[in-house]
Amino acid sequence: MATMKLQVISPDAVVYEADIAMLVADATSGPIGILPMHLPMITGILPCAMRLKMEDGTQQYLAVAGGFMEVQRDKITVLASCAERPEQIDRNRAEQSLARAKERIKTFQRGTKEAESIDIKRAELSLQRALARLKSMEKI
Amino acid sequence: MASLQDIRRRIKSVKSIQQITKAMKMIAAARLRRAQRAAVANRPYADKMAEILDNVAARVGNFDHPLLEAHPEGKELYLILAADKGLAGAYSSNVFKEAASHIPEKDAVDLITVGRRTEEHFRNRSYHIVKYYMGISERPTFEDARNIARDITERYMTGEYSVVNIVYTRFVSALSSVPEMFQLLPFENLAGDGKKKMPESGLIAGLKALRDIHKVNLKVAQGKDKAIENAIANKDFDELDRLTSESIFGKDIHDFKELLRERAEELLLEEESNELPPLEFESDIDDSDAMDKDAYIFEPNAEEVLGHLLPQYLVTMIYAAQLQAAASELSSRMTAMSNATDNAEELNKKLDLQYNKVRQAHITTEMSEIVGGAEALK
Repeated sequence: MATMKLQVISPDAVVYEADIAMLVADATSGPIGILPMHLPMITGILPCAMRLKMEDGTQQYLAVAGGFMEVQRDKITVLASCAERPEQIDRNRAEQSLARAKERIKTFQRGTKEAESIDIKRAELSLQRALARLKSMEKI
Repeated sequence: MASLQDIRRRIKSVKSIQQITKAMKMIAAARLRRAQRAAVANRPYADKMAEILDNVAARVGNFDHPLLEAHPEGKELYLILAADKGLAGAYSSNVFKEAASHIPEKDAVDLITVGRRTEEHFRNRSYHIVKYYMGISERPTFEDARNIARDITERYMTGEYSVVNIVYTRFVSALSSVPEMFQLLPFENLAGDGKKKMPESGLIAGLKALRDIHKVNLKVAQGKDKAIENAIANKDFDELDRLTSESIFGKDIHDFKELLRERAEELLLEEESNELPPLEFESDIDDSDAMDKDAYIFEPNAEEVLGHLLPQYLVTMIYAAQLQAAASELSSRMTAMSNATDNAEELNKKLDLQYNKVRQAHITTEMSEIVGGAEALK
């Protein structure tokens, strides 16, 4: 089976590097699946659990916190502000931040006084990140 | 002359200071290695980011983004990166000097400071500090950079500021580092030798140049556009060639042809006809360098990707500057502490000598006193 190289880079490290057969991620314009020999493409990606299909048919997940993806025919480079392999994720922390983000969004929606101090965009992003992490763990 | 006890006390204190400076030197050295590693680990990300930006910027024509807008009326905003702690030689004061040399007037600027010393220094000189960060100078995280970038972006978008500059220290080697300033926002001409230090190099300048060309050419080009579209529709390739080779498209003829090609492809798809050779005029382009690169698809389009990219790029630049500053701080501290340890060693030697001299003088006086006393008893 044809494969392509995947490189996931965060500001602090090259998080992941391997040959894969397919990549599924959430692009800014919707979920997108990429197979080898895809046309060169650049797109933004949202916080999501990226699904990697390996050469032998097994699947892996990577949690990414939004960024960019550059696709070349035989290589994909993902630039994410944060990227983690499932085994690197602290489940407690992710769950806590999920709960916190939910709480903040709820407060915002109630529209009380406290709501004004909440950055709803930030809360939603943090919710998505937490979800991406948890999702990538559950699917192993 | 100082008494024996005084000297002994002094030796003791110098020795204990030496122990402290030695420990600090070793700590700084260990942290410096870590900071250097962090700076190196950031490299692939920063490089790739610059590369993608390069690609996208080259493809975007007349593009408006809040971060590219100039507000000529506003004040200047300076982001100043220096240390939290002292005992790093002239590290912080070099940065302050560099910043002061660029600031025309106290009242014309607002500051955002990173580092306790930075805040103190500029507060004491009654500069206007709009925001300060503490406790992140030695070990910056991407999260810190993101917070700073968000804050700067918000302030910049209010139109209050004309430019945002950053003053930081570029890390050259463990022995030398240079304070430097460059412009963060609006994204355009970067300070002099910006190429060496930061990954952004001439990209932004290129982007700006392209934008300017487009501004001039857009009107003329729009007229031509129609004619060209007609030519494509009529499959009149001679006319097309004539139109596209005219000089008004100047430097970005390549981009323009790219655009045409896309349009031609669209038309082809519509007609579902294979008669129209897809890229007739591609071979005419001698700009082989640019053609070597595979043309990228932008999803959903280049403008949107660029709009997404610029804020990220700001974060990347700030993060890179922070990492460099952290490495510089630690290397300055290491050097300063190493010098302090050496000086203490030297002082110790001198004091030892003095101590022995005084001790010997004492013995001599005592001896002569005894001899004198014995002599008197005879």
